[in-house]
Amino acid sequence: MYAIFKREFLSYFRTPVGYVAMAIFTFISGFIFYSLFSTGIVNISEEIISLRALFIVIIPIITMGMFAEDRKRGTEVLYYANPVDLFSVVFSKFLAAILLCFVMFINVFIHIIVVAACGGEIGIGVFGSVLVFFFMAALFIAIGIFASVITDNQIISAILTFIFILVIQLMSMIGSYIGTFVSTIMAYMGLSNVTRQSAQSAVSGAISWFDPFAKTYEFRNGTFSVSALVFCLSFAIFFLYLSFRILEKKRWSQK
Amino acid sequence: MIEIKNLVKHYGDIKALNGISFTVKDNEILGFLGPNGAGKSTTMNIITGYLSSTSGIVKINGHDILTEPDLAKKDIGYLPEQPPLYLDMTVTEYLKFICELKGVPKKDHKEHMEQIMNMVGINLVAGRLIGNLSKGYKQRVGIAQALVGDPPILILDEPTVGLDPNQIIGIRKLIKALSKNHSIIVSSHILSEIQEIADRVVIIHRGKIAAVDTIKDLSQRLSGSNKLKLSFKGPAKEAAARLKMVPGVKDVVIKTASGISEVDIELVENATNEVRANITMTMAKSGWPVLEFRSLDPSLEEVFMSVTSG
Amino acid sequence: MSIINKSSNNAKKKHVNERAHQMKIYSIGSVVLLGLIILLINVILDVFLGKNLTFDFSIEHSNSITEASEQFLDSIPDGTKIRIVGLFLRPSSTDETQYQQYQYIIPLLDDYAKKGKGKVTVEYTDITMNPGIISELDPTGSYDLSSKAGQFVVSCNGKLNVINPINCYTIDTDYLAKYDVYMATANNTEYTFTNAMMSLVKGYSSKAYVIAGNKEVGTTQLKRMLNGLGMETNDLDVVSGFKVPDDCSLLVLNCPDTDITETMYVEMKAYVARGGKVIVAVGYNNDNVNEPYTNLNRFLGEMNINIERCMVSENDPTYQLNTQINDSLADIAQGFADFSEEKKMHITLARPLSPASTVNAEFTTVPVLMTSKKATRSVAGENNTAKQIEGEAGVINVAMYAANIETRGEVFVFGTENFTSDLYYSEFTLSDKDAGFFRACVRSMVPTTASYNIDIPVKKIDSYMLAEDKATTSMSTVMMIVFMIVLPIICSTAAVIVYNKRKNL
Repeated sequence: MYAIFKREFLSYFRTPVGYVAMAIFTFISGFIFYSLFSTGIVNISEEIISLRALFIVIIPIITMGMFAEDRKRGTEVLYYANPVDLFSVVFSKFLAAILLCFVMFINVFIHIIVVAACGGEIGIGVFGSVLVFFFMAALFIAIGIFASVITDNQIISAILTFIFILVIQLMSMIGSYIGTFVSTIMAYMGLSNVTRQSAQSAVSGAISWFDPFAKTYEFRNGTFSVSALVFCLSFAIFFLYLSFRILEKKRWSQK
Repeated sequence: MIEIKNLVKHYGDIKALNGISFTVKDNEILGFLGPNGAGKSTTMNIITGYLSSTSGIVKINGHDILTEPDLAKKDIGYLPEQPPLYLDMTVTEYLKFICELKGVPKKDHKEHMEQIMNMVGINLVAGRLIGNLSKGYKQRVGIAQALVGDPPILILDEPTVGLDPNQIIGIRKLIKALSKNHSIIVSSHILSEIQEIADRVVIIHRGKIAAVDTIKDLSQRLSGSNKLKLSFKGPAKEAAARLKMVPGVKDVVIKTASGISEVDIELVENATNEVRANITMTMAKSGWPVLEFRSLDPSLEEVFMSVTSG
Repeated sequence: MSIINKSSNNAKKKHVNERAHQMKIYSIGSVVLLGLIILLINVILDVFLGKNLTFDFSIEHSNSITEASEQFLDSIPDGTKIRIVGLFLRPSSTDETQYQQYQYIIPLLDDYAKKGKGKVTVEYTDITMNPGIISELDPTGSYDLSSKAGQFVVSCNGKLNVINPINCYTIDTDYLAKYDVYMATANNTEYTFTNAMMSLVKGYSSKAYVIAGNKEVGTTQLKRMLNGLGMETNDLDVVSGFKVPDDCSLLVLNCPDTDITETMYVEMKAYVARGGKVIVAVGYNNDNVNEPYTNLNRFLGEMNINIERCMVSENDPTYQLNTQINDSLADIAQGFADFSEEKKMHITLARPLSPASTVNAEFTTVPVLMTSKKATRSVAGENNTAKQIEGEAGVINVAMYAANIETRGEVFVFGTENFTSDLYYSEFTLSDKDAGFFRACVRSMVPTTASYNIDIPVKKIDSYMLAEDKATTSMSTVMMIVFMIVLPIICSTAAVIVYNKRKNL
């Protein structure tokens, strides 16, 4: 398991991919940091939260080749025909991607040190934002791995991951639109406003329940919710398990 | 020791394998022969645990590949048709990864890798990127990968495909050397190659076993349908007519008539060497210098015709 | 023939496919099972345990109510129903600009509901979609709720209190003036809501009027303090015929930059004569340096107090704050020592208060806050410098108190804006010692029950301001060069080096 983790992680740095991703991440986080710094008010949480918007670009790049490339090159045989558990293969690759995120994130730690040195405020909210950053990265990487498993084309895998993350980012908005839509339909059906409103809240609430961004919102203020972290982690595990099962399917599938 | 019993694999309605059974004894090289698409790779994939069979049993040194996959896989070194190489790694990096993957103790890595690289002949390219190696070297790295961890059983799917003759001879020698303490399955679609190295041959055709034989038996079976090729300076038609007169010659077909003449000679079954001697004598008497005289390898199709009909 | 073959084939296929079939069932089954377990765990955690597994680690506990509020909630009788209604649909996140003002409010209200043992309910509804809520909350239509979308209504015992979210924060008025951006420096949400509930449960005991129309500074914080003391606050407009209402328990003149009118003088004098309570605060600032306050001094003269047209220079370094002569500490006079646990109050740009030239014996006049013995008087010179006025150094009064024992008329006069102005509290918050002293002054004049004011410390909002000497332009240029140019170039160079080096291996 360690072997796969190590190979996968180092592979980012054997090709320019890892360095280029780091350069982009460094530049963008540097830009955000600089624009905050120039106003004299730096809330690192804000930077970290803005950086989460990069997930939609960075995670597909990290995960697209993970299994798609193995399948194309025939290297997946190594995992099937050697005495390693396929789940540990999935998990090792997952950990390697998380470590890559961590390496990119070192940058932000430098920013934090700079802020502390300049007499700025580094509160519990910053810690919360960092925590959320990685839990969310874990969830999205698991989704990216899933996308990489279901196709052997890197580009399709990247696009799928992109769409998945986009939907999750817009979850609350989609929820409220669907809620309004339901309410409008009910208005045509002649239902009372109170019923409509409760239906709207129920529908949009049920959809937004799956929004990890809303769940982890309060971390930036130092309010930590265990259930939000469990949400991210458990769904990450679900996607990893699903990926494992799909890989395993290749053995017995008769298609 | 590999035991395979009644292996069946379906892909939808297609039966890729339909009841394959054979065993490989310790320290034996088994040739696995069949045309492309016969089911060689599928069988090998099932033996190594890459695929699971629709039904049937595969036992590696007594361990069932389905119920005890880890124990079974531990004893197998596998070189698939497409070598599983990471092109962005150097040979050393790659082999080190395989060592770690197969759980070779860390302190032995260096020695073990050196030994394998020497054996396979890739020590000169150890520091190079796999993606930059020639096909022959890539194939050898693939073999090296299979040898990591010293598995008692090697499964090599077309190990010499795409190699130049020198390399082929090298690989053959290597396989021969390995057979002293390994059980090896080598697949190929070229008969001569299998004849060269294998102790026994399994011929597979359309998902079924066409024949299981020792090389000796097979050669005997095949010798009956020998064809000869003859090229010489002289008139083709006349020569053909004369050669047909030689006892034991069944048919003569003219291939080229102008310049250097070429004819294919078909002998009767169970023809002795006397027949060939008579042919050269006839040519010599007629004063037509022989430029080339050799046996024609039977094509695989002919082999199958032969084994299936016989 | 072929048909027979096919059917027998099918039977055989079924048999041989059993292994794959079993694996398929197992595979799909395990995924579905895991999915259900995960969903179940999440629902249980979220719905049943979510709130108990949420921990407020913030230093200020912005999202949790304090013990004082909890005690209050415990103290009110069971069966009391306090209903908090947000007149908007609850946003799932307060990330968007339009919802940012609810950032500290929504989670805190959740905490009220959680710790209120059923006495507090919180709901959100959209008044355009659910107009019925207006008549339900406010049957008499006296609160104009239809224009209050986006605000909160606290309702109890048929009475309402409308809370505008913007009033839950202390705004940095300096920053607002400079950048025209609302920047919250403190979060009064809990203070506001708990005291609103308190006043609804117990009812306001008295009314305070705050005079508006003399170019006063902001009065939001002042009103909040008074509300917290159980007093309803109203503006008393100068323009439309000034008259002190009969139900006035306290009249506040909060830092006017212009003098009061003749009418006001007459009205206020009459008010004090009939036992009224007045608080006057006048500081020294750029806008009122030339204001003699003739009428105001006539009014205060009745109580033997005169506001001078200069400012206090504190020359004793032990009294100075940040070594400034006009930002200093002032001693609390003996009679008022129990107003605060602190010995000294904070005064800034204070005007000296001196006894009036003619003495009115009906009033007993005493100092409240005094400078050190080394204080002198000065006026504003050019470029924000202080120009000393000739005179001996000595103790100068900066706050005074006058009372008529017969009529029970009472007056507190502050020569500084620190005790009443928004400007001061936006920087130092309502938890400041000056606020505590001011409350004590109000309590000493207006009979309010002690339990009325729930003293909830104001929660600071992290300022995230960098040290001024570090956040310079040149420093931020360095940041730009290092983080936007140097580091990315190092990474890119590494990419090029690795690529070139490995390409030819």
